[in-house]
Amino acid sequence: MNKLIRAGIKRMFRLKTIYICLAVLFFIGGFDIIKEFLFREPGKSLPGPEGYLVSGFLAMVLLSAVLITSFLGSEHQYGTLRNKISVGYDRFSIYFSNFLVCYAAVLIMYVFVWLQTTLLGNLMLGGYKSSNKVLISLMILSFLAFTALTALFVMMGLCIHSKSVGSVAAVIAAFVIMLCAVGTVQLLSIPQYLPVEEIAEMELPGYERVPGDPAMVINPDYVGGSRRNTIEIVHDLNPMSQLLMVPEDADAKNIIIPAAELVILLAAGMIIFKKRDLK
Amino acid sequence: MEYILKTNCLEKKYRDFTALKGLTMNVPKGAVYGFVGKNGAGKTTLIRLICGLQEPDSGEFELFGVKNTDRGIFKSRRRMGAIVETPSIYLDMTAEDNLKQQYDVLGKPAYEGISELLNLVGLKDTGKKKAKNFSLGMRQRLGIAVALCGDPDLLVLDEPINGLDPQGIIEIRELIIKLNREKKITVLISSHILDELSKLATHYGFIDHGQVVKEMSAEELERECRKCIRLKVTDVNALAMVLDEMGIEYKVTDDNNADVYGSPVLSEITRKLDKYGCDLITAYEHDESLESYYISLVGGGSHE
Repeated sequence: MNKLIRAGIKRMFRLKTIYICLAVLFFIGGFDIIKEFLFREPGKSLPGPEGYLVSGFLAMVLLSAVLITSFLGSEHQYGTLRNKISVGYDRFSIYFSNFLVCYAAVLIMYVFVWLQTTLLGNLMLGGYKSSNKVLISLMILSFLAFTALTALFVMMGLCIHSKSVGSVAAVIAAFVIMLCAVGTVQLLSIPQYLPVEEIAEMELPGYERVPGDPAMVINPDYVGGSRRNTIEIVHDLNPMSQLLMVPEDADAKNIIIPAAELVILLAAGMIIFKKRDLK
Repeated sequence: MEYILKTNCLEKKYRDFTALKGLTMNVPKGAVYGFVGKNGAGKTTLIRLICGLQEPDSGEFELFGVKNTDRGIFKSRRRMGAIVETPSIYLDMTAEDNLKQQYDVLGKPAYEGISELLNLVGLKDTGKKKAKNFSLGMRQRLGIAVALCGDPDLLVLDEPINGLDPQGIIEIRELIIKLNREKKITVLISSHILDELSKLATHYGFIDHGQVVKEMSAEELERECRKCIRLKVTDVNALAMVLDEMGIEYKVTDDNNADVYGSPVLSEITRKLDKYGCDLITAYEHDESLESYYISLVGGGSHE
C-alpha cells in the first residue's frame, strides 16, 4: 500500500487543483485579514481572527469536495484504477491509500488555514480573543470534522463511477453541510427570553411576560419542543455545525459523533467499492 | 503444454443478461491467443474477470497456476499487464509521466527503462506533449507501454485496434509480434476484426453467447480452412454438369462463380466446358478466410 500512497501523493501534487485551493483559501482568509487591517475604521476595535478561521473552514468543505472528487474522478474517467487492480492490488489497499492521499491534501489545507489565520491574525488583528479552551476545542473538532468529511468525499469519489456526477454530488453535499451548519446554529442561537428593554414600547403588548421575571419576555421566534430536538440532532450529526458553535460554547461539542461518522463512512465506502464492478 | 491462463465454467450475469455461460478456455505459454467473437459475445467480460475488475458468479480460473479464489491471485496479477477497452492513461500527463506514475504504482525503485519502453512503442519523441493531444494510435501504444511497465509475462489486450487507422493497425500488430517473439510475452488479444487477428495469432478461441465454441492452433485452423480454386465461367450450370461428371466437389457461389475443391486439372475442365459452349474466364486459388470459418462455427446471426 505504501507504493500506492507514494504514487498517489506524487500525482496529487502534480495537479494544479491543490494549489488553486490554497490560493482560494488565502483569498478567503488571509486576504480578508489584510483588508480588515488596512481598511479598519479609526477608533473601532479589531475583531479576533476566529471568524476568519471559521470562514476558512467553511470554504475548505467546498474545496475539499472539489479537490477529492476531481482527483478520484479522473481515476474513473481515465480508467487508471484498472492499472492498479490488474497489477494485483486489492481494493482495500486502493481505497485506503486513496483516502490517505486525499487526507494528506486536506490536512495541508487545514494546516494552511490555521497557520495563515494565526500568523496574520497575530500580526494584524492582535491575536485570538477566545480562551485556550475554545481554541483547543476548535482544533480537535475541526480536525475530526475534516477527517470525516474526507471519508465522505472519498466515498463519493470512488463509489460514483462518473467524474462529473461524483463532483456535482460532492459539491451539493458540501453546500448542504455548510448551509445546514449555518442554519442550525442560527436557529439554536435564538434566545428563549428577551429583555423588555430590547423591545419597542409599541410592540411590547404582543409579547408574553416570563412568569416570575417581569424584566423578560418570551421570544416568539424561539425554536422549542420536538422541532428543537430535531434541529439538535441535525446539529450534532453535522461536525461543521458543531464547529460554528464552539466559539460561543466550547462545551457544546460532541467529538464522538464525527469520530463515529468517520468509521461508518470509511467502512461503508470500502464495502461499496469492494462489491461494485469497475468499468 | 504449459498454460498461463485456464478458465473453467466461468459464469457472469448482469441482471437478466448472461454474459458468460460456463466459459472454458486455455491460453498456452508463449502464444498470441486470438479471442474471437462478435460484440456482446463475452470477450470483454472474460478479460474483466481475469483482471479482477469483476468477480465471476460461478466457475473459476487459474492465472499462472493460481486459482482466482486463492489469496495468491493478487501476486499472479503482478505478472500481467492489461488494456481493457480503452487505454488506461492519464490524459493530463505526458507519455513519460504516465510511465513514471505506473512505475510508482508498481514500486519500482528507479525510472530505469522508461526511455526504452517509449522507444519500443514509438513514443520517444513526444516530449512534453500531453496524452490528451495524442492520436488514438499513440494513446493505444502508450496504454501498451503502461501495461509493459511491470515486465509482464502475460499481456491482455481488449480490442487494441478498434478505431485505429491502417497505419496505426500495422504499428500495433508489429508491436504485438515483437513483444511476443523478442520478449517472449504471452498475449491474449480479443478482437472482432478477424483478418487482422489472423495475421498475428498463434492460437484461437472462438466465443459465442458466452461460451468458447472452439479452441485451436493457427496450424489447425489453416488445415480447417480448406483451399479451393475459384472458377469464373460464362455458364455456371454447364460447369456444374462438368464437375458432376468428373466427380469433383464444388460449391456454386453465384451465377458465374463456383469454388472447386481438391486438385482439379484445369485443362480437362476447360476441354469439357467447350462441349457445352461455356468459356472459363478466370481461375485463382482461394482460401476460406478466418471470417468464413468463424461464420461457419457460430452462424451469421445478427448481434443481440
